[in-house]
This record gives sequence, C-alpha cells and structure tokens, in this order.
Amino acid sequence: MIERYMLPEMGRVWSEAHRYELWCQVETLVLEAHARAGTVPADSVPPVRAAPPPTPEAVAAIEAVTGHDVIAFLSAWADNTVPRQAAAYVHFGMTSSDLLDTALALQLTEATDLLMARCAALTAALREHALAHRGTLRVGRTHGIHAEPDVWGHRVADFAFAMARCRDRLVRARAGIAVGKLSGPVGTYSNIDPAVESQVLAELGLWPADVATQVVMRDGIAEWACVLALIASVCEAVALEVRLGQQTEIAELAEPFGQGQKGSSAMPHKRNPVRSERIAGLARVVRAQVVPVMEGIPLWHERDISHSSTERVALPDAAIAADFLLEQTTGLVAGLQVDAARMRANLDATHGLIYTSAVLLELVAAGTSREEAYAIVQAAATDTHESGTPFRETLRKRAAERGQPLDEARLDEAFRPERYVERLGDVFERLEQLT
Amino acid sequence: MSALRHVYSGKVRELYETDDGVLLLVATDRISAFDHVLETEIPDKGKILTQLSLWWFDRLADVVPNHLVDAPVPAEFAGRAMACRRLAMVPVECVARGYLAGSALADYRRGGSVCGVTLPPGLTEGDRLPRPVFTPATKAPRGEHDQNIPASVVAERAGADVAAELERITLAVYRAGAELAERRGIIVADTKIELGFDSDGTLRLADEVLTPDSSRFWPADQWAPGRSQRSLDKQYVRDWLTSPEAGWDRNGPEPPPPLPQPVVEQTRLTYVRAYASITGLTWG
Repeated sequence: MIERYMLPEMGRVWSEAHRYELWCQVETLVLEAHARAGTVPADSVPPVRAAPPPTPEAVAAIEAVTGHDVIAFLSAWADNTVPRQAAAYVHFGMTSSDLLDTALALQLTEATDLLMARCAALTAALREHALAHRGTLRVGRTHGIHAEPDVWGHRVADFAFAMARCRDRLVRARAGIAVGKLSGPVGTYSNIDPAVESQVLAELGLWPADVATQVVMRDGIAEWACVLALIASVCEAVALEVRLGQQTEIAELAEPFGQGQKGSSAMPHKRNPVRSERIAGLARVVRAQVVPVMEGIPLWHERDISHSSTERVALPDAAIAADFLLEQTTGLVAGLQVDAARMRANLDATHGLIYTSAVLLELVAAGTSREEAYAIVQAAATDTHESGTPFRETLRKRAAERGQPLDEARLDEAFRPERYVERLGDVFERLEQLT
Repeated sequence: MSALRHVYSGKVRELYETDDGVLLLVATDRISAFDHVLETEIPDKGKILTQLSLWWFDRLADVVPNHLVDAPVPAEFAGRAMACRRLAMVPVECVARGYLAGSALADYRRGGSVCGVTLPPGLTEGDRLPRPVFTPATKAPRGEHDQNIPASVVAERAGADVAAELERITLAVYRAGAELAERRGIIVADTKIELGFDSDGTLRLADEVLTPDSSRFWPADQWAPGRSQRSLDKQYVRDWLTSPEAGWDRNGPEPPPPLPQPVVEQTRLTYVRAYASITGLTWG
C-alpha cells in the first residue's frame, strides 16, 4: 500500500522490520520448547534470545542469493547470534510455512485488534450523530425520489447498527485467523512433537490448526478479508449518503471543510465531497482483495506457493486501506455539517406530494373505496406535478369534482411531517443501548 | 527486606505481612476443583494469574483504584506476588454476570430471578443476559458456599451509598473486562471482585481481577447456549476427575487422586493461552 493511505500503527504491523521481530519471537519460543523437552541443548537458548532481529536490508542481501526469504532470514539472524553456532538449532523440525503461517496469524490478530478499535470509534460517532439528529426532519428518498418524511438520525442509525454488526463480525473472524501451525513439511509432525506446537501457540495466544498441510487452509483468512470488505462497504454507504446530500441542488449535508482547504484549482467557489469520494475509491480496493485471497483456498496437493505472492499484497493492502477508511469515515461523521433548515425546505419541494400515502389512508378510513380514493389522490398528485399547485389544493379540487367530502382537521394531521416519525422511539431506544 | 509474617492461607494463595505493614499476596501453583485443593500443582499458574491481575489493574486504573503499593517483592515470590496495602474488606462478594451460569442458573430455575433481579422468561443455560447484572453474595467461611443475596440486603448491611458504589464498580469492571476479552475471542460469563476501604475511606479493588480463577472464561467461538459451556480454566481437571480413568467419586469421602502429566500440561496451557489471548503479550 502506498504511504498516502497508511496510518502509522497499521503500517508498523505490516512492516518488514516487525515481521522479522515476530519471526524471531516464534523461532525463539519453538527453540525453548525443544530445550525444555530435551530435543536441543538448553545452552542454545540464551544466545538466540539475545540476538537482535536482522534488519530487512541484511535479509534482502542474502535473499538476493538464496531466492528464499526464510533461509535468508535465518542466516541473517544467525549472523547476529553470538556464538553463531548457537543458532544451529533454530528452526529445528520446522518447515518455512510453520514460521510464516504462525507469524502471519500474529500479524492478522494485531491488525484485527486495531481495526476493532476503529470500528468501535466509528460506531460511537455514528450513534452520537444519529441521536443528535433524531428530530431533524428530512425527506426520505427511494430511487432518488422523495418518498415520505423521515428524520436524518434515522438514516444514520442504520449506518451505526451496520458498523456495530461489522465489529461483531470482526470478533468472530478473529477466531478464524488466530490459528497457527507447527507441524512440519506436510503437517504430519514428522520431525516435531505436537506438544511443541500446543505450547508455543498457547504462549502466543493462538490456537493450533485442527489439521494442516504444509500450510493452514486459507478459509479463515478469506473470511477475514470478506469482513474487511463489508466494513469498507459500510464506510462507503456513509460516504455515498454524504456525496448525495452535498450535491448543489440538495445541499443538506457538507463534509468538514478545513481552514485553507481548496476545492478546485480552477473554480474557487467549490467545496467538493473529496473525503467521501476517497472513501468510495478505497472501498473498491478493499473489496478487490476478497477474490484473490479466496483463491488461496484451492492449492495443489499439500500446498503450492501461488497464495503467497497474493497475500503479500492483498492482506496488508486490505488491512491498511480498511484502517484508513475507518479513520476517514469517523472524521467525516464527527465533522459532518447538517443543514436542518435546508432539509426542512427540501421536504416541501414537492408541494406536499410526500403526504399522498397518508391522505390515501385517510380517505379509505373515511369510507371511500380504495379504488376511488386512489383515483382522487393520483389525479390531484398529477395536477401538482404538472402545475406546482400545492397538493392540498389540488386534492380539494379533485375531491369536490367527485363529490367526496374532506375532513380538514384530519388532513391537517396527514400533512404534519412529525406524524410520520412518531413510531421511531423504539429504534432510537435500541440505538441508545448500542455499545 | 524486612521480615515476613505469614498471615493467612487461602485455597490457592498465601498472605504475608512485612514489618512495614505491607501485605504480600502470593499466588501458589495450587489448583482447586469440586471444593478440594488438589495435591498436584499446575506449574506457572501462580505467576500467570498474578501477571494477568497486574495487567488488568493497570487497564482498570481509570475505572477503580486498586490495592497495589510500590514495594519490593522477595526473590522467592518473584512474578507471583503483589505488594498491597491493608484494606478493610467489604464483607460482600461482588459478582457481575453477563451470562446465565452457576448459582445464578440454579436461582433462575427456581424462581426466575437472581439476587432480586427478575430476568426474562425462557432463558437457558449459558444464555447472554439482556444486560449485565450485579449479583452479590455473602462471604461464606472456608468450606461453605457463598449465598446469593439481593442488593437490598447489601444496602441494609453496608449502607445504601456503599451498596450503590459496589454495584457501580463491579459492573464497570465487568463491562470493561468483558468488552476487551470478547474482542480477543473470550467471553467473560461472570466475574467476582473484592473491594475494600483504605485508610482514607476510598474503595479499592483488591485481590485478583478478571482471572480464570475469579471468572468464568468461555471460548467465544465454542459458545452455545443450552448446555454447560467449555471453560478456559479447569475444564481438563474437572473432565478428568469425573472420568472413569480417575476412578474417583466426587461425592465420596476420599480426596481427589493426583493429576496425570498430560492433564497438568493441558491445564497449564489453558492458563497460558488465556493470558496471552487477553493481554496480547507472549507468555515466557
């Protein structure tokens, strides 16, 4: 991932230097477990434990010759070990993927813990914004067309619960990726005692894979990638709502616009929803990682290495972009400008047509047949569409033509926008409970 | 280092006092099951529970002050002792529950409520409660079981203000702990904390906190209401003691037999994994 979209903590999780730290940690614990069991000399442990992890540059220099990253790492680390021969027992009984998959599980859990905190922060921001706007009337739109009165907080509540579900999914997905293996070249424990695996993985806070080949089956990682794609998509849903709401003709919402910020090089008046568009763009990047990662599930026999190159790109990119998206979306929500007056004005843009459903029910309740009531309301609505005359007036005219009396007091109620959102109390009560 | 005076032996812990009036709470590797202290010890258990408690005390510092003081720990107890101030302990077991299990399940089955808190009908063993509840209990003498009591009884005994504070702190500790642990794949079904007043009258968290011995930890991915849950602590010990292999009658007069090595090792790993999973730190 390019640095532009990388936040420091998540960047560190996926850095080469950190990867080698984790490799050293795993190898050291395995060596200690062997030493406890008597399979390797106990005096090999202290020098290895004291040896600093090799630098990425040192590993790269050796890898240029060996063409094998783990062998290069082991050589470079041995160069840091005093005496060097103490490193002879490092990696004892292991295959490269024992190290790679176990360390990858640690990186994935670290990344997940950061993402969970960000999901929680975004959920909290959405919840707070929704509760603050539980009474802010705005029109509900379907197909982009005005439908019925609603409140802005209701729309945001939908996002808040969606993000809370994403966070819960991430908790479940974490269990699927907190899995390592130390079972040798084809997972048969040919040269390593299963007790070493259970000890070391417990010390790392991981679970041993129930079964493994040379690698851990990629279904857990693929599920994790799917959850990240869902997170990204929910972020994009928030951003999309802002982009639509910031269109000049609608003008109900506006992204935070910083002091000194510029919208356009040519048009000084512009305030563009660039943050939301960035969110939309990066959500595509996260979703795009799902299929390649999933394709790491079918591998040749006990494994081939086709998944490896994919994952080197896809997993950090998915995690780093999702992390950035969550941070950007949280900032978007926290600083979102809501024009309540404009929302109220837009509510009247159709001259009362958004009240047709309630008027229809009023006429039926007053004893008119549904067919007759529908004909009156539709005819009046068409008049309003064509002439811009308020719906209440065209309704009176059309009803009078058909000899249909109207109860003006009840129509007052049908034309009162607050009436449409009175039953949202339970939704907001559930939102208040959302933690 | 001043001289140590042995003050008290608990089931699995020892309490000492220095000449300076500092208490040393030392966790042993002893393990108890079915109200017996077993003759076999679990290596590292004392250290793991102490380190986990210390980690939580630090995490919970914003929620409630604790009993720790900055004082040296003798080398023989390194890693498994906490230097603490003396507190006037509140004579109530402060329990918070987020799930239905143990004595709460028994109470619920009898009368639909726990400690005076009415729960929704139709709950089954291991179900998540609508919200965490405070279920205090009396501190029973050693060898007897604690009795659940309504919060109103706590208010009568300790005063309404203190009772409210106990409830607030207990639920806050539970919530903070359960939320963090759940993210790491562990359900904290319930937890028991100990609180006491210091000389300034401040309530402080004491003893151990959010450990497998003071709480029910369940692996979240194996949680399935309607049966007894696998727990991340003494499950291997309980399973083995009740297996035909152990040949032990838990209702009989005999003490439990010694644990075989695989059971000891699996149990140790369970504690290690709980520590590493919750803290995100490597054990060892």
